[in-house]
Amino acid sequence: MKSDKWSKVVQLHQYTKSLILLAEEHELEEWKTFLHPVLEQRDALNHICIAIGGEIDIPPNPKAGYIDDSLDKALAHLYRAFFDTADWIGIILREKIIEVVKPYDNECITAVAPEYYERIRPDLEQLNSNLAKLRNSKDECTDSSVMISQAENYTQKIEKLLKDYKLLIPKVPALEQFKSKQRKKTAKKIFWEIVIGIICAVVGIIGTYLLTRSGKL
Amino acid sequence: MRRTFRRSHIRREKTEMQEIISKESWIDLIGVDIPSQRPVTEETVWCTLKNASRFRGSVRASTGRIWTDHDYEARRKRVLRMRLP
Repeated sequence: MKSDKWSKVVQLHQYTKSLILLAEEHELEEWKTFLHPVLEQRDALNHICIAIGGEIDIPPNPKAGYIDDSLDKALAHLYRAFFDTADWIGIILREKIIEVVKPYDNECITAVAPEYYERIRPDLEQLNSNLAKLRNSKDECTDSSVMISQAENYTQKIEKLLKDYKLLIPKVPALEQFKSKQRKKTAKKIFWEIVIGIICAVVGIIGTYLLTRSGKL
Repeated sequence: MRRTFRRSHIRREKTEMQEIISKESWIDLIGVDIPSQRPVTEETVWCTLKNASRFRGSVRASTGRIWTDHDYEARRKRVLRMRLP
């Protein structure tokens, strides 16, 4: 039981750490850091030390359940740290993906990066809304197995989105090319519409003139 | 708003401090929680910058590159409001 909780503590810490490192690397605004996960980890460290103290008899003769209670508290803090970090990186990812695809219209994105509408956009929308919900209810979860499975699940989702983002970046030149082709096509279309309009007007004027001359009008 | 926040924090800190002072030995403090997390404000950033030379730690924190609670929430709202194309 105890070793199971210890492994959960380590797993949650490693998931959070990996996301903190990724979030700091991908942060757009002045390489700012987010202190809340670190402060939660500080609280978790206190409970981890209390649990270790229980195992090595500091203080002497700890009460029954002393270690388990401390580990539960540590897990709760680490879980909060995880979701604060996941929310942070979720926001960064959304900002970055919007920055890449914003200048292009639906036709352009569908033609060059079809995976955006197939996978990236639904995944991102789902991730942001789920993380917001979980962030608000992070104090309610007390089952450590649920904590771990959620943390694992969201870490995988975030890593997948990061991979998708990295696949989207090399497509920017193709998106630009498509956009300029589209512009040229539109300009050509407008040009021919104007030319046809002028021809119609000229034919109309000549026709009216000829009919007036022949006395039919 | 800010004033109320500060007052409630001062009150809480006083209670925590009284609890800590009433203990006689470090062993009695083992089970005591670390003081509760305070909101990260502009003042926190300013104090961190001011005392940067006195502690070793994250370069980002010591150069004041920290999201304050207010700024982070504002950014979060702004980004979540942005519609994906």
